[in-house]
Amino acid sequence: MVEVVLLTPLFGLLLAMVVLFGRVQGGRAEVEGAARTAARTMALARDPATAVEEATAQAATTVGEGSPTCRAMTLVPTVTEVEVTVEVSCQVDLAAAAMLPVDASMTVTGTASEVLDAYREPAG
Amino acid sequence: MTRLQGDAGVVTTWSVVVVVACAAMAGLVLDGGAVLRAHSDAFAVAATAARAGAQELSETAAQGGDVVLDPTAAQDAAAAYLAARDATGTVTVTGATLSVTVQTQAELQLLTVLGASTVDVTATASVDALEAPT
Repeated sequence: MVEVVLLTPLFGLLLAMVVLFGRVQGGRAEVEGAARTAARTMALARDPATAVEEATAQAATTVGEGSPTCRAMTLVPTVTEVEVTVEVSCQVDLAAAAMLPVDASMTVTGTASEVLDAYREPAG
Repeated sequence: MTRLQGDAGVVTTWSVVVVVACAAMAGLVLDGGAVLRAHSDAFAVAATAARAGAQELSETAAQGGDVVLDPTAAQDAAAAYLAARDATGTVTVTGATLSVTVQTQAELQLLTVLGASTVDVTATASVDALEAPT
């Protein structure tokens, strides 16, 4: 049974890898989803620039800001004449996979763009 | 019941099974996650392209009070959105309905040992142009 003792670190490493991949993929999926939601919210607003606050709040809810897959979130909106582009970034906490040679956190970014509704009612 | 000659080798077999299972799990999380993300991305791009195209209403039909898409303009608008995102897809316009199917590929990183390095992903979204509720 000595082998089991020797192999335990290997099992630990493999499980840490599963956690690491899960965190990173989960974080990526969340920022992409949040970017889509935020872009859609802004594109539906009469004046997209005024909807940044609402879009940021929705994105923060989508990524679950503060959770391990997103400790801190940043949202960068870009509004042009015809479309809205939103870039959402999150700090993914990788401390749970600290036994692997990875940084304590990693930044994941998701981008989405939405075409503005040409027939929406004007602002004001 | 056959008596085993000592316990040598038994733990090794068990270890191999567990290591392979752990590695498969890591592969499913990483590559399965990539496939899921590719799928939701394909669907989101298809839906947005469809919405972009569905804004191109037929002016002649609109004058008569009907909501019908201008097939050429709608097709072009949706295709332009896809092209701007480097996405491959097909656009179909029928009356007031516009469907976009996006084909993409998810790149595998760990499960490549099974023989495939990419997985084809397809998603379809359709949009109806509606008259504004009064």
